[in-house]
Amino acid sequence: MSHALSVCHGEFGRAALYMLDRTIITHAHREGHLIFYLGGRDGRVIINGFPYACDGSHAIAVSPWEPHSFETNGDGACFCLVMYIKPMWFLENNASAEYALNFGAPAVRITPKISDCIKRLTGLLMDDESRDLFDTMLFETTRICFEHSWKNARPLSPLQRARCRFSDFRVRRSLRFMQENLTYDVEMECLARQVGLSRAHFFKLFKRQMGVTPNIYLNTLRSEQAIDDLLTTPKTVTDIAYDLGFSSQASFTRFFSSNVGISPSEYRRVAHVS
Amino acid sequence: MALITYLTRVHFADGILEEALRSELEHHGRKRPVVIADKGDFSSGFADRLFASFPIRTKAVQCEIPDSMSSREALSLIQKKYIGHRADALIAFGKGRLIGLAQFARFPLAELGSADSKSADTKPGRCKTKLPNLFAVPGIDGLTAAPIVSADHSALTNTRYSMSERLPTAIICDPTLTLGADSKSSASAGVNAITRCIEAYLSNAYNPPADGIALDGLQRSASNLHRVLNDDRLEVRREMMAASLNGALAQQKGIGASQAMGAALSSAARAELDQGALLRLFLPGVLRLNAVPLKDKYQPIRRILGIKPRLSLADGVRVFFDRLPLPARLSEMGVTRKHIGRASSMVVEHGEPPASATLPDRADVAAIMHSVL
Repeated sequence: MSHALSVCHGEFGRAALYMLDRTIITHAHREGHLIFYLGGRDGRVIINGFPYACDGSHAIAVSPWEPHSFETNGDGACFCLVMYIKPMWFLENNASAEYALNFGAPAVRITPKISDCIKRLTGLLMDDESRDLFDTMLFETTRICFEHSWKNARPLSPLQRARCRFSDFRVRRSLRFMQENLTYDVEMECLARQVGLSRAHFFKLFKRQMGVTPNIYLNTLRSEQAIDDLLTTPKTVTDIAYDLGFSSQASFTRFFSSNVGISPSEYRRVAHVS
Repeated sequence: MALITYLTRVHFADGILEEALRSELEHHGRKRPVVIADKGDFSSGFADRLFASFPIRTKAVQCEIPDSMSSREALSLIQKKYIGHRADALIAFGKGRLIGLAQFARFPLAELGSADSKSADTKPGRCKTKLPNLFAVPGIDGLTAAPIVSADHSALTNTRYSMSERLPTAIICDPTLTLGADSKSSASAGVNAITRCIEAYLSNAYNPPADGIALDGLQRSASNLHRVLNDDRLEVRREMMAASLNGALAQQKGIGASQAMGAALSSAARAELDQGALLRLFLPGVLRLNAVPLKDKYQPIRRILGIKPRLSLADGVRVFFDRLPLPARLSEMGVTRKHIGRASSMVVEHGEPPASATLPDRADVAAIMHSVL
């Protein structure tokens, strides 16, 4: 069973220390995502179908809404530091960054400087002290990784990106529908019909524009709401499950563990807001 | 001596709407906004994008303002919705007029104490009352709302709030929202931006940064106004939105005479007349009125617009606007001599005095309006 040693939420997004020995299924985040291997069994992150080793030589950088999954190589747990950075927070602190926090390449070579940052961040997360220093270090780590990720990468045209995303009214409508109905059991067949498309056409169009399937998008919204509920409300896990449209606590726990990495009750126990 | 306050938060990028609005609402802890727009925008893809961007558990209520609704009624409706919903923020999107109304709606709400102290704006200024947060997402006509200078709202215009305090908490400028706009709306928005920039630059107030913003906005709009009529590329739309934003920010120097006249005529005619179309007709007359006292300040404008030496600035501007797909006379917009009579009184007697070098009197205003009737 995967475990968390520490989970910290703040204005920046969230950061966690995980011992992962189970697969995390394909999922996505609206934040920029960095994964640093700290020890134990090596892992693999599959981003958009391509595998990247999660070992001591490279950090893994996943851009917002990039579908990815995680698996360990064999038995044993992979100890890693994971960060989910809100693009706007990064932008507020770094005027030269672009708002989307899209990384140039998924594998970022670990330099001595990055290695030092990881050690200090891990220590600060374990100690749960010096919040200001933690935010500063987290920003610095993200900034360095972001810059390194673009070193040999070809810049994408922001015009093309903005044009392909949100350009189809049916996709826009479906995003709104999911946002407003995520606590109900949203049937994809029904959602496709709602926006005037066949299921197959809807999935193809949605994936092309958003980078993820509608299922993964909806799962992301539900994970976000579940995390927020766990952190900010006194609701029981069972109530959270029902409120999110799950038929039982067990199915919610399965969903949460396979999308977030650890069980909801453990998340609530370990997580804190800075 | 000058007091210059800079200014408000602006998000400006292609496709920024979702990320920016979400982060602003999260940052301010706002969960119960009143969303203000017109019927067309509420049923558009613009609204789909806006509502999809809300943080979880946001309970928004819609406040639909029809074109035919007077400013007084609209302000009252916004206030009613805000109080009824126990709202904690305003979001205005789409039409410049509605963003302008939302800006004014904040004042009575603040006076009523509806804005809680936790996250309302606390900009430095003369006013101690806190205004509710307002997040503005302009559409094609940008932040080009006509100032409210009608007799109906003279009380509001005499508020204790400075121009910079009237600006929204954050402005979210996403040029992708203007793609596909028709040539008439684009022309009107362009004229509005140019007029704001020119009148802000010519205003007597001493504010060098605002002058720089105004001239930059003028440069961008002058280079792209005619292109945007037939060119829907994002880079052209982006330039026009930047010009419109510059015009709105430079407005802290005060409202120009043409804008005051446009707003007054709308009010006198009891119709939402196209402000861009009105400004196109009024600006040359106002420039002619100020030609002597502002002669030196006219030079940079002439240079940017590429006006030939044989033409006066007023004539040059008229020629520059000549081929735009907008009404050529006031009568084409249903304006009558009676409306002009009422409007010329309003400009002088109600609302904010225009920030012109030469304050037009009633006869000046009437003469300019009659010349383009």
